[in-house]
Amino acid sequence: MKEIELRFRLNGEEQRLTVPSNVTLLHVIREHFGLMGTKEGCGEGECGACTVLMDGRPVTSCIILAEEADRHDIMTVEGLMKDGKLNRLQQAFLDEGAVQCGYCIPGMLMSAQGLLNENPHPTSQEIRKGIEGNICRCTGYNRIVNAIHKASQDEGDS
Amino acid sequence: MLPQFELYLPKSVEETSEILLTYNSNARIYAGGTDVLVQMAKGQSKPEALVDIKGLAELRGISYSAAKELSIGALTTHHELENSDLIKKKYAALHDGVSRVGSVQTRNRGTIGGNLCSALPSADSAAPLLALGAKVIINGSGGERELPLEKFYLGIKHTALEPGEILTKIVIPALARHNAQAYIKFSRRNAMDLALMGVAICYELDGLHVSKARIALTTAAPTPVRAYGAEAFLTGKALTEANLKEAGVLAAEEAKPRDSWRSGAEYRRGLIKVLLPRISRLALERMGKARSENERD
Ligand SMILES: Cc1cc2nc3c(=O)[nH]c(=O)nc-3n(C[C@H](O)[C@H](O)[C@H](O)COP(=O)(O)OP(=O)(O)OC[C@H]3O[C@@H](n4cnc5c(N)ncnc54)[C@H](O)[C@@H]3O)c2cc1C
Ligand code: FES
Ligand code: FES
Repeated sequence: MKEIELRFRLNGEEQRLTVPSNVTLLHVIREHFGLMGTKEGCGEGECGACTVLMDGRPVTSCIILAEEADRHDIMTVEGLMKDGKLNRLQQAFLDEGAVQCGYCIPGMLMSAQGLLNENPHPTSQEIRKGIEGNICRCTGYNRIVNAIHKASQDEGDS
Repeated sequence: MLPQFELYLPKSVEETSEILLTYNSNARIYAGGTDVLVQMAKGQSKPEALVDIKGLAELRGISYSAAKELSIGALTTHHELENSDLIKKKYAALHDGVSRVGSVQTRNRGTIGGNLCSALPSADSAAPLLALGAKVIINGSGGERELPLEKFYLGIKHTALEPGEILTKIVIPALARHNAQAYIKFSRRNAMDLALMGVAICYELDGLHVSKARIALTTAAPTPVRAYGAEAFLTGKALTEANLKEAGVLAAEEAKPRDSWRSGAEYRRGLIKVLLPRISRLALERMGKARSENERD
């Protein structure tokens, strides 16, 4: 099995890396870079816990080969903070009490960020559609939807 | 951990075809990977090689030919189709289908080519494409060939692709100016669920009468299928409540749904009866709206 050389951007920084062809992007993020925010739930694309942004759009990193990151831009939940401050989505999740056990939250945040990238002022229906691929066992979703709504109304650049 | 495999990143159809032939049936095409990697993660598939075709530029893009045929590259993602104004306006049935595949994440990755080639009875782009009269363009070892989508499906997970061949494009022939179309995916949940029943229709109209009817069903047989009996019944008729009701009965009779844990065959038949008139009304409403918008312009 050949090894593959990758060059990609991870949370804004250029990275170079050699990996075996059969590892997933999720594996590289957690095991190689030690970024533990991105979670593994189902490992089959169903739960959304492993969601990251690829070129600004949410994808489930458990069913993506690491090879595919080559020359792309990847962002994980760790990339949301700026200058040591939570971004407005993260802050809104806290303010609205949208977090219980927290396991789904990194994926939720990345789906929400992806939604706002494409649609800065979504309706509540659009927010629900935006997080349709993220399962939460705890919150009942309402506070999460409220938080995303709140963040979308805050002025700011992030 | 995924099983081991060799990975190939070809740049042309010829190169892809050669690699596939070298491995006999032990290499798999890898497009969005939303079916392939899931099967590998579950241990259901252990290919010796994966052939990532995302470097094949000719498999991308949505374009119109001079003859007003719409060509959709096999690598076009559900998300790209969902976000295309052209698809939304002129091919509403397909738009209905692709915007209901899995979740945002699935649609960002999953391709229309992969959806057809997986050849599952529940494929959400398949019934709309059958209703739109789509053809598939295949290329590989024996050169390029074209098949009506109906002939592409041979059975569950079984397509007409020969060794060394890939699907390159989907082509939708020109439709009559006045056409009514829609697809409904009936499922328990709005997201992340497969269809209990899917019904797609496209009626080409001449005045009030149907000049051509195409009706297609997902999850109603081992492959996505046309409901030819119902189509023949509606041809030349007006789309009245009574005619639509009868068409629903005919389509339910000719379907061959099976019992599964998702739902029983009888329930699925009942769904066809109800859903066919329901989406026909939706399609007619849509057509009416589009017409009055055009008149205002
Ligand atoms: C969580 C989840 C939810 C889903 N929900 C739905 C749903 O609601 N509705 C639905 O229809 N599907 C659903 N799917 C299935 C899947 O996402 C779609 O079928 C998707 O379109 C497959 O495309 P892909 O590019 O990811 O295919 P891949 O996984 O890359 O390929 C699929 C198959 O087609 C072959 N193939 C791909 N492209 C070509 C080509 N150009 N020529 C020849 N062979 C090719 C591959 O070898 C493989 O056998 C879901 C999947 C997941 C993971
Ligand atoms: S771990 Fe990737 S979707 Fe569940
Ligand atoms: S907060 Fe526990 S799973 Fe969402």
